[in-house]
Amino acid sequence: MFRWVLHLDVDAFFAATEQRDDPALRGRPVAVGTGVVASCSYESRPWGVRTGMRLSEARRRCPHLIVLPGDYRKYESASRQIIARCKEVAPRVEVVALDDVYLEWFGSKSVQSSARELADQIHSEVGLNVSMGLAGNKLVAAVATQQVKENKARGRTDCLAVVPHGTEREYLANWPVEVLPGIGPKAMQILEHVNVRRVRELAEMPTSVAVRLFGQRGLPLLDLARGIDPREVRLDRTPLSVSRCTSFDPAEADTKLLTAMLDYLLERAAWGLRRSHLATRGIRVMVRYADLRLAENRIAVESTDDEAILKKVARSRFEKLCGRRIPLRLLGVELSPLGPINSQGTLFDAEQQERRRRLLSCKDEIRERFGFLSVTNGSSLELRARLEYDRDNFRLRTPCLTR
Amino acid sequence: MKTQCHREGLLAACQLVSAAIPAKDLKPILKNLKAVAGDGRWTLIATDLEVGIRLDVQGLQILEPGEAILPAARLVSILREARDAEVLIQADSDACTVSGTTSPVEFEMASEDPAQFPDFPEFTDERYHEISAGSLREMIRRTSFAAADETARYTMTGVLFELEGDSAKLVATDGRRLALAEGIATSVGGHTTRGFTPIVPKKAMALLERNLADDPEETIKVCIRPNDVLFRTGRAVIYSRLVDGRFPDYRGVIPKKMTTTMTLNPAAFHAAVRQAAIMTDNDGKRVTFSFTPQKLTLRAQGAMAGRSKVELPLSDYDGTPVDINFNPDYLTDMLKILAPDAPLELKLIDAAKPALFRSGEQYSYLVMPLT
Repeated sequence: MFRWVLHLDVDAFFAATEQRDDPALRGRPVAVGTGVVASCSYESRPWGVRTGMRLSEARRRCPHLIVLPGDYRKYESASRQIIARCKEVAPRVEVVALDDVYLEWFGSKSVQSSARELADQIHSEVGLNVSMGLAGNKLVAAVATQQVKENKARGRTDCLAVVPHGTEREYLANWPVEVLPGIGPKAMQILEHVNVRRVRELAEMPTSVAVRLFGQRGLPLLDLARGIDPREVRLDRTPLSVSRCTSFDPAEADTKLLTAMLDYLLERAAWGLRRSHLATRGIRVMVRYADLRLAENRIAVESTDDEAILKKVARSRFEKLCGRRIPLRLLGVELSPLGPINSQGTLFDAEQQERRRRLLSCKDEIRERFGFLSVTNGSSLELRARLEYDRDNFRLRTPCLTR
Repeated sequence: MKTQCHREGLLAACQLVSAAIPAKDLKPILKNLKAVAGDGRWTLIATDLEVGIRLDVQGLQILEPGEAILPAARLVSILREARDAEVLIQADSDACTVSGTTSPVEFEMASEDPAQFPDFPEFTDERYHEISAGSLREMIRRTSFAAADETARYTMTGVLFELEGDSAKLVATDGRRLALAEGIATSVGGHTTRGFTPIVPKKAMALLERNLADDPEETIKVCIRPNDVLFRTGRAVIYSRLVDGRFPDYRGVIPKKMTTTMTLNPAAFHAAVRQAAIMTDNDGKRVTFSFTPQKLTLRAQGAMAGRSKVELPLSDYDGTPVDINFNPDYLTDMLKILAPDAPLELKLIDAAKPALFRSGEQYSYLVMPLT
C-alpha cells in the first residue's frame, strides 16, 4: 500500500487575498506588510521584490508597488475555508501555517485527480491559487511544491508536481542542499567548506564523514538527502510556543505605553494559551531598540496559564531589559516551553486558586462571545486612549500579522 | 596563634563548619573560618549572617593561644592533600601558614583581622528544650525535604519547629505536600513556642543534622526566641535567624475524618511507584493509583515514553475503591527516608482530597493529588 503526502501552499497568500477582494489590485504589483514585505504578488516579483525585504528597498526596486497593511483576520478566515476543503478530501491533514498544509492518503489510486480537484475547488470557492507537491513523504512533497512555484514564476500554469515512489533520491539530487530541513546558514558553512552544494553530493557522502561533520544529526540528514523522511503527518500539532509582538514606528520611548503594551501582548498570549489548553513553563521578553540592536531576557516560571503571574514576571524582566534609554522599535513576548496544564492540587490556597480560575474562564467566555476588547484590563486603558481599536483588537503596527 | 593539630580531625571539623559558609559572595570575610585557640582546644566559627556555627575541636596542642582568620576552601584542600599526621598552623592578622611536621611542605595565605569577623549570640539562656540527638536527627530527615525551594513561597522555605511541654513537632511543606514529625522533648525553665510559629531555614536544619551524627544518645538543647534559635550539641552551638512570616495553618489542612484506610509495605510500595514512574515524562509527571480492596494498580502514560502498569496486592483494606493521581516524586521523596519494613498506613477520601500517609504515631505525610 502506497503512502501519498500532498503538500499545499497558497500562492502569495496575503497579497492574493487582497487582490481577490479588490479587483483594482488584480494584475498589479502588490505587497502586504509594514516595515518589511510579508507577502508580495507574482506581478511584483520580476521587479525583484521578495518576502522579508524591507519595504523601502521594495519601493525602490518597484516604484509603482502598491503597499497594503493587511488584515490577519481576513487571511485566517480564508485559511479556515481552505483547511475545511482539505479535510473533506483527505483523512489526515496537518496545518503547519495559515497557508501551509500537508494531506495524507494511503493506497488510493486516484490521488492525482483528487489533488487537482481540490485545487479547482479552492480556486472557485475561496478564490485563491495553490501550488501542490505530491510524493511519498513530506520532504519530497514540499520540494515538489517549490518546483511548481518556480515554474509559475517562469510563466507555467500547472499547479501540481508529482514525484513517483522510488524516484525520490533521483528527484532531489540536483536541488541545492538548502531545500533540506535543518540546513541553515551554519550547516551551509560546514557543507561549503567540504564543497557540498547539491543534495546529490550530500547523499553520496560516507556516513562516517557526515557524523564527523554534524554529530548526531549526521545520519538523519543523510537520510533526508537520500529522499527518506520519516516525519509523520500529524493531526493535532501542539504548538511549541505562543508569541505576540508588535513594532513601533516611530520608535516608542513612553514607558507607560510600553508597559501597557507589554501587558496587552501577554494578555493575548495567555488567552491563546488557554484556548489550546496549555500552560507555559517559561517566558521570554524581547525588544529591538531604535538602533536595531536586539535584547531579550528569558526566565523559567512554574507551569501556568494565568496572565497575572506572567505579567508580574514580564514587567520585572522588561525593566531590566530597557536599560539603554533608547526608544524601542519592537516589543514582543514568547511563552515556551509549553505543556499540559499543571493540575497539582494545593493544600493552602485551593479556594483562592479556584476563584482565580473561575474568573479567568468567565473572562474568556465573555471575550469569546463579544470580542476580545469587551473586557479591558486597567493596564490597557492607556492603549485605548492612544490607539485605534475595534471589538477584537487594537490596531497594531503589523495588521497583516495581528492576531 | 600557633597550634599543632591532628590533620584528619581538623579536616573533619573544617568540613563540618564549612557548610555554614555562604554560597554567594556576601562579604569576602565570610568565605573564611574564624579559629579561637585557648584552653587546649579550638573554637571554629563560620557564618553567613543568617546561620552560624561555633564548633569545639579537641586534641590539639596549643603552642600560642590567640585568634585567626583562615581561608576555608584553601584550608580544607591543604588538609586533604597533606600527607602528615600532624600539621602546624601559625597565624596572625596578616598571614596564616600551614606546614607539615614531617614532610617539607609549607603554605602561606593572606589573612585578616579576626575582630572583623561577625559574631553571633552564645547559648546563655536558662530556658530551653532538651531532645535526644537521634530522635531530632530522624525528625529533621523526615521533614526538611518537603520544604519549598523557591523563594516565591518564602515562609515555606523553612521547617516549623514547635516545642510545647514535652512534645516537639517539626512541620515542612511546599504547599502541595506536608511532612509532620513528632517527638519527645523536655522543657527546662518553662521554655515554649506557644503563641508564635518559629520557622527555621532549611540550611540551618541541614547544618544541625550533620552535627547530630556522632552520638544518638547525646542530649541537644534548643532555645527558640522570637527572632532566632540556638542549638547546643555536645561540641557545637548552631545559631540561626528565623524565617520572617507566618507558617500556613497546617492543622487546618489535615483531614479529621478519612473514609478509606489500608496498610502498605513501604518497600513494595516504593518499588511499585518507581516502576510505574519510569513511563512518565518531565512534562507531566502523573501516576494513576487505582485502590480496590484486593489490589492496587498503578498506571502511567508518557506522551513520548509509553505505558506502564504495576499491580500490588493489598490487605486490611477498609472503604470504597478510589482512583487518584499523584506526582510520583512526592511519594518517593517520602518513601526514600522511611524504614523499608515499618508498616505504612494510608488514608484516602476521594480523588480531589489530600491523601494521608502515617508511619507509626510519630510521622504523618500529606499529599495533594493531581486532578
